Amino acid sequence: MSIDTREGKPSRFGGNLIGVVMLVVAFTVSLIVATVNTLRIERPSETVIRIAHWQLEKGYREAMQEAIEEYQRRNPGVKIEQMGVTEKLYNQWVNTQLISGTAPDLCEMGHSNMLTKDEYTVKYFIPLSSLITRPNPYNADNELKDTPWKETLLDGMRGGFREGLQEYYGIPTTLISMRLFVNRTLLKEATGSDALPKTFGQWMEQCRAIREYAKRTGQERTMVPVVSCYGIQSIQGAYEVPFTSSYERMLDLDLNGEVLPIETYIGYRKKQVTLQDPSMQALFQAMKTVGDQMQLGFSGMDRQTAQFTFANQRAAFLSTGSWDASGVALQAETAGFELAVIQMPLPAMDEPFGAYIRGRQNEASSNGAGVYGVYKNSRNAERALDFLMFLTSREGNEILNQRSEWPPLTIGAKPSKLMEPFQPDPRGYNARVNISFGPRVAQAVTAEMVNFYQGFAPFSEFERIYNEVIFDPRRGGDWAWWNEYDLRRRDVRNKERVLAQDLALELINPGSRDAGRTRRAVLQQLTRYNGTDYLWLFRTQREADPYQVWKDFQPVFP
Amino acid sequence: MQVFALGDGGSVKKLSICLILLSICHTPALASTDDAFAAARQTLVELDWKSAIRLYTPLRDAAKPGSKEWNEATYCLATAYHHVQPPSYDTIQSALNNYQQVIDKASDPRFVARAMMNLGRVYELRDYPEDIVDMDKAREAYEQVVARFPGDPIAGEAALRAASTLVMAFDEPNYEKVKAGVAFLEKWLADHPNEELASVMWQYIGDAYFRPLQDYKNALQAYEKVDKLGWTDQGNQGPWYWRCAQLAERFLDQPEPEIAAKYYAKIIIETPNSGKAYESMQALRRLNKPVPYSPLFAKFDPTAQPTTQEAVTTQPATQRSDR
Repeated sequence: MSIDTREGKPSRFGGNLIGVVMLVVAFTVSLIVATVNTLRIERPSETVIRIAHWQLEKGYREAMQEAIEEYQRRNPGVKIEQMGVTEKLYNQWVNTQLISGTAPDLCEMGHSNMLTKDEYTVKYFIPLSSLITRPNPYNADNELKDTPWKETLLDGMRGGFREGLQEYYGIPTTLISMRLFVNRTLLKEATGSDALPKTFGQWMEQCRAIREYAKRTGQERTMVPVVSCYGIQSIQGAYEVPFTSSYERMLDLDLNGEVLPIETYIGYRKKQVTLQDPSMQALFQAMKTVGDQMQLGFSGMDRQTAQFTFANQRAAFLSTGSWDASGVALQAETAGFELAVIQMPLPAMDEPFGAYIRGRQNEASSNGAGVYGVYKNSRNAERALDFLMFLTSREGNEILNQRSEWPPLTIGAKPSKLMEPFQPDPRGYNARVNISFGPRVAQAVTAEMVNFYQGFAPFSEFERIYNEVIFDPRRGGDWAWWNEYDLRRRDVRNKERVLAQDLALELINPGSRDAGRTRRAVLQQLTRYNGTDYLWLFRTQREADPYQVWKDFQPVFP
Repeated sequence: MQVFALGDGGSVKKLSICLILLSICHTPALASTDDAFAAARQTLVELDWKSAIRLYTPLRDAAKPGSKEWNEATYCLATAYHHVQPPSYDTIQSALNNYQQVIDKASDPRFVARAMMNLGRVYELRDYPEDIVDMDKAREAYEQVVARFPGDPIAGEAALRAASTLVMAFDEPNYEKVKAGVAFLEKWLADHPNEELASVMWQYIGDAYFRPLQDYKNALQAYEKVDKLGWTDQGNQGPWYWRCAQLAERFLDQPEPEIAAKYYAKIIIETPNSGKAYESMQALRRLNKPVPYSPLFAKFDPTAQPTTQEAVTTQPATQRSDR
């Protein structure tokens, strides 16, 4: 109860009156705000587009805002609102918005089942195939002016393609690539020069010098030359093509320009490729040399630890992707060391392993990331798509990616200084020997190979276990072959659903469906032969009856 | 009301009242049927087969057999049973029964033709674990479509499907069925110069000649026809371009460097993201042919073997002059 100061007696209404007044004011303000907001939504004086994403990394939102402002300047009466939601919450938040019919006009595709699974994608997002074959009007002043929008992106818009639906449901806006980060300051302290390694031999020489430096300065327990955010596999990924692409001529049976795991298995059984081949041995031994420059038991090091080690100048080289670049650059700046970014150095001809190098792995077929879909119930879907056109025009893409320090995706868009080394290099080869045929073999390869690279087991042990697994009738190459056959057969069946939908809707409303899409689906289905080509391949290449070899494997239907 | 003013007796009044009441009762019903069909169609758009069964069943039951509404409802019901998950013997039987009803009773031949095709699809594909694939029965169904609708575009699709049931046999060592399938399609294309699926058919023929028949000359000729007609899966034809170039350069008794060069150039210009543009440039130089420009390579010297590119560095804050 409050006190009436004039009378010195308790007041019956004084305190309550204040409360009531506050309540009324709050109610009135809320009512006004709610009414104004409702009116803005129901009868907007301007077109409002909402774009949601989970990219809260340093600089992304500012970059998006800059792109938005430029777009708004060019399109008066349009307002774009970006909604950054944390990665952890994005899933739940976007699901709720989609179900309640209030989702943003543009959603970054990923994380949530509703944004990744085909059945939800068709329900909530607009198919884009028919819209991306026209030129992007925002490229009118550059040489891409007559190029179909789809082809103006470095990945040919593959990042937005849904294989199961045979349809584009998103527009990618950025690229990702793996690189080697170098602490030049530490390099100079350790080796006397901050010259970056141009070859694999130079790199390993510098690593040895850093080991010596660590020993000299009493840091041998804490300092290592190389750390990796994603284990040694991400480093090996850059060397498999250089060392093994020469096998393509021998192993690429379907002449599609790649060596599929199934083709590697065929070649392995026929001894066209063995683990003892000089080029294969060169690959494994080169990776062992890298493994020797990483910390003991490096397979247990996670992304955060690797970054922390590098940021604290306890490693001179860090292997990670473009998405970490601005964070690492900031850490370098804070810690006061000079940072450089390079591609993985290849052995020179006159160095060990150099004789087995064909050339670098090209990055021409990298898929775009930062994919945005257009919400089906958007009141301004056309305008939302127009904004994506701007975002992926040369200028728009430059604004978005330069400011956010991500690699741009549009052909000719200039990257930021930091991102220049991350631009995909289209030069080089793409085929590689892939000995990890099937998930079960892959599991064994990963575990045993890392043991060898860490020095826990000799190569002969890896080879013994690999042969044991790959020739194991229940989990090896034959099982993986059956698995591929089964997946292929099911893929044909799944395509039948998409075709059935198209054909039924076309019957109901003639001319309403994209005939090109139907033809494409028919062709893709036909050229997978219901999987029977894999049975034939087994009979003729494996020289065995698949029904006999696979008799214990049961098809698993979804 | 006007109707009463115009009436000349009790019977007219009663009739008018009946008409008004009827129209009042009937209008919402019509609207509701339209809405129900719209909702049912939406389930197809969303590949929601369970809801399609739920919504189309009463619509089919309420419609007069052979009517427009019945055609749609029965056909879509069949389609929904055909694709609903999990699939079972019962769902597939329901699909077959409904397709058969469409074939027997539908007034629109388009629905009939498609239902006949779909019988073939059911026989051709394994729909549930114990399902038995019956290629002969499937081919029979497709051939019936060709026989009953010879002038309709669906006949071409049925012919292609019929041929594929033979090609899929992969019957080594003589490949009689594969050859029969290819011959059937070639004859079809000769007899139907305006076939809508001609490009798809030639690509399929080319693939069959390539593998399993290993007749590389005919494979390349078939692909050349596709190239003239236009590739169906635009943007993804890179692997076929590479195959054509390899066939022309390495696999023919008489190599065709001009044809090989044409496909290498196409890879660079049309499918630079296929991963083969750099090697195509090398191949063109090897063949002494001009290398076309690609914006993808604008910043890179395609003649240089890439090693470590010039690194870009960031200076620590203390050494930077721009901050």
